[in-house]
Amino acid sequence: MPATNTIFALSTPYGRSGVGLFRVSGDLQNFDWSTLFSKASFVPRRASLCRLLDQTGATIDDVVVTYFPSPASFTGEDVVEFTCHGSTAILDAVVEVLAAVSGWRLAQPGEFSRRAFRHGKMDLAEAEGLADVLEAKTSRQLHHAQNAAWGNTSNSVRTWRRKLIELQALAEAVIDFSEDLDDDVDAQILDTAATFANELLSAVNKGQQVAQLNAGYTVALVGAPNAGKSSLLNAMTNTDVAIVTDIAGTTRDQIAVETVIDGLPVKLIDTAGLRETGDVVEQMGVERAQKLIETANLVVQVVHPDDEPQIMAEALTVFTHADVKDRSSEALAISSTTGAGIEELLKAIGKQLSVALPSPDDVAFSNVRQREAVSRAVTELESVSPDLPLDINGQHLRYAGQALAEVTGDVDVEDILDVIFGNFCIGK
Amino acid sequence: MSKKYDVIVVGGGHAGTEAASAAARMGASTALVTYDPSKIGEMSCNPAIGGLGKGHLVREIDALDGLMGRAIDQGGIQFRTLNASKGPAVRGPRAQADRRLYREAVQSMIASQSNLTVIGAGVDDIVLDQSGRLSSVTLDTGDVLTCGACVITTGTFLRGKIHVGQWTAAAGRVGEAPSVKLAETLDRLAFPLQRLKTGTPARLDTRTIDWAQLEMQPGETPPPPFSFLTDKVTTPQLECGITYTNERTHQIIRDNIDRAPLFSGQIEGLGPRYCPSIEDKVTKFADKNRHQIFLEPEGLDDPLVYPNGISTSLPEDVQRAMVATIPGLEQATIVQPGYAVEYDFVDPRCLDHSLETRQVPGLFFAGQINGTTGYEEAGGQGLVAGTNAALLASGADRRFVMDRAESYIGVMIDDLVTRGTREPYRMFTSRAEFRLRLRADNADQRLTALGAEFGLVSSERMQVFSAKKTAIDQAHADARAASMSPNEWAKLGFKVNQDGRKRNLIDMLALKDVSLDQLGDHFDFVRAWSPMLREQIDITATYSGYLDRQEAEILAYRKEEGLKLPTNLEYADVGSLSNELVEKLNAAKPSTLGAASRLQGMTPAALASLYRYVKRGESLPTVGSDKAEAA
Repeated sequence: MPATNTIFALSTPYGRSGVGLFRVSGDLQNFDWSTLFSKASFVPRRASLCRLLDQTGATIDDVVVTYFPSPASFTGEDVVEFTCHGSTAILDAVVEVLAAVSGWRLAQPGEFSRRAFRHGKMDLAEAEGLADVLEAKTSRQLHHAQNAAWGNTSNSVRTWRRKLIELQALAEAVIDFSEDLDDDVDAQILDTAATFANELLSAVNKGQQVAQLNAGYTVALVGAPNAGKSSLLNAMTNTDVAIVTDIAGTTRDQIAVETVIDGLPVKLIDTAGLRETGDVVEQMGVERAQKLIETANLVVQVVHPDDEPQIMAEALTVFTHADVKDRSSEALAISSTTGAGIEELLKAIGKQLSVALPSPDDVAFSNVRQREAVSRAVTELESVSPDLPLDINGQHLRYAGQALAEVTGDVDVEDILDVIFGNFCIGK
Repeated sequence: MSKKYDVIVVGGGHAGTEAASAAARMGASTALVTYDPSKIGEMSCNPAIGGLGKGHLVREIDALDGLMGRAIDQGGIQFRTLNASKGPAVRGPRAQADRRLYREAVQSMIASQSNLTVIGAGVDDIVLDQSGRLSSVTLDTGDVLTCGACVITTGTFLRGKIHVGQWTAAAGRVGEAPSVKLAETLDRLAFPLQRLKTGTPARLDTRTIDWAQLEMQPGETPPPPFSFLTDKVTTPQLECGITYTNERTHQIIRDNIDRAPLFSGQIEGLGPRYCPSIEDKVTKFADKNRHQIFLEPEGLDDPLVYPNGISTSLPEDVQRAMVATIPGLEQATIVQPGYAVEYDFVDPRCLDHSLETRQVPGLFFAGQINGTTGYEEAGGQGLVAGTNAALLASGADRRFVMDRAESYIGVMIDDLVTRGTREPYRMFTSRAEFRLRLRADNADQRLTALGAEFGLVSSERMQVFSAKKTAIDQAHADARAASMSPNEWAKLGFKVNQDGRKRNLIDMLALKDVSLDQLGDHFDFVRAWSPMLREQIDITATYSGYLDRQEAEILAYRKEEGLKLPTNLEYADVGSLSNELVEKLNAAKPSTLGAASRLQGMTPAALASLYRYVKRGESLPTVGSDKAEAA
């Protein structure tokens, strides 16, 4: 074994905090704990209070230690977790004393997950889901990531793997055992491939929506000068970021605020009022606003109640100054002064943005790597055609299998033969 | 008495004859040692050669100037191409054989082969020199033959044991003694021996079968030959009969299942799943109310019929009762009851890709002893082992090893030596990942020049091949030169996208509605093509695009193959492999990273670790998310 096979790391962010959690993973069966702690042994999976000692035996800090022997641990190896107080001085001292242990070293980024992956504690889709869980900033992001991390994606993928093996087995059986199988299964192969392609495609499309959720949405507030866009932005975000005056054309550059609407990460952008202007800077702002209308996930058309809204497809229209003139019978109406209608507007935005978002229980390939691989599988499945000889269709199924294997793990020829022999009466 | 040979081949079956012939063709002085020289070339199971995957193997053996293709062309009494409509890559030539004609054809080729001596004896022992290298073999006559290399091809004879009901006998084939002493020798040398079983059906008397009420299956006319050297098959052709088991048959089997050695625990060896006994089929597929039986004549003037589909080791009285329930066989006489045979095989992971054992330099194994089944699988291994034995004996460093992109033989040997086998290994086209390229029709284009390079191929065959190759190349050149714009094609009456792109004749042929006959109306050279050339051009068009893609995959595959793994690699030291994988790797000792990748349970992560470990002598984690710091 390489000498540096036990890894440790601070699992909470570095900096001043209440507690810091350290995690150690490796072969710790015969480790002499009394060299580090004031206790020589720990009851598995039970937290115990003791002292962490430096090389001279002096106390560094009081710590709470939990021991998870292999294989029932996060990485599948022996794992020790302990919390200390979260001052940078203590955290530094702990790192120093752990690094001094012979054969121990600081973990590389993601190394604990990699070890868990390697020891079969999670598969690739779960590992990628876990990464997303750790990255999640909003509740909706978290729900989707947890679906993958808890193995739901992997379970569906396993079902698909099984399906693909059965489809391949059908094609290969017709090729290799044509003498034993008198049934005409060509139509069955074509149908199954087409259905399967659709199922995968749906998960790819859903994944695109979840990827959008993870990346966040852009919502543009657009409208005529002085319609009340900047006031609205401030009201929606409870901030004072946008300068509000009575002078039309105050907002010349875009102002963006990141916020969470209905569990969705949203970048709200206040834009320059749309008008012909001789002011070069304002004109540039107007051009930017027009570009943003093209690219934003949602456009909110902000309209002064004295004006009439423009026809904009897929835009959400909202009248301002509801406290002065109420047009709530025609569209959403808000007052940035009283706060009336703001809650409804946020709800409407959340609803519009998440309309295509799959349920967290749906299988969705949110990870780019997975989505790309599954898309290739879809292309191959769609290439299966009644105009091609079976050996070429079989080749497309093989390619589909290889592509899917990048998400699911390998599909081995022996797996296919197992299905053939299990499902068909083969052999004379 | 002591004699010296370059190569000694033990066993005169399909592996042994190909091995001996190959070694002798290479110029090695060769002895073929077998109990009974009159049984050389015997088909001990069903009287047929080829089939799906297997037909590919026969063509490859033939392309390398082996015996099997020429022998079946002389002994074949019904030829068919299986899967004719399923694509050129999966077409499998198959033929029924007249056992006697086939055997005689093999024996006459063996007899006329220069450098080859046949010795009728059993082999009791193999003798190693002080360095542990094989130096001689001891015959049961007491004679000792010294040799440079030895190929053992004992088939089912290693501790063979025959079962018919509760009756058992030590035998390799019915009436022939097993090799027990040789098995003990292999035990002593610590070869990993395991047990397998296979079986055959009862043999029936053709004169007691009511052929009139049976569905008959004729062969193709004219019969398509196996060998690239055969112009025309001249043996008379026969039809096979087809009949089915029924509920009454199945009831008899179910009533007597406790007397079946397979179910009573009397047989320990694992049988092939694709060639199950009738008792297996009835038990496993209880919902099927009938199973097909092919009635295969064993020869033109042989009264025996091989009922393919009802292999069994049930007691003789049950076999008789069972056969009598089958339409057409009501009155049929069983000449010899069906039986199961159990035998030892060597875990082939103890071999390298040349089929030489790692334990004993100079010792090669080929055929059923390596856990395979089938004449064709045996023949392919025999040819490779014989060639390498001759190379070794001559002192050459080079070995004859085909990779998975070159031949089915290469696929088979790679499967065997890297993955081993739990059941008798049979070739399937599904096993070949480069299946579109490895076809029965192009075996000569893939292998004959390679064989010639090693000295395996006669000048006659090389001449025939060169002429064919020139014609194929010329036809492709002509087809590619006939390149025209969409407008010009439209003038000839062909519908083409008006995209301004020039298309040649092969591009046109790849279109769905264009046939060679239509093109022949406009091009004289197309009309002049022989059926063989038409087929080759048609295949090129069918696979256009696919073959290019496969070539790219082959490049990637060969790159992985290029990374050699040291044989003394301590897999436990790689550090990041699961215990299960370490065990598998230690058992298989894959010679390359590519071979390691084909082990079951191998993961991309494990491969990456292995790659880094070998490349840089260190092990670093390689797969996973970089986002999840200390997750």
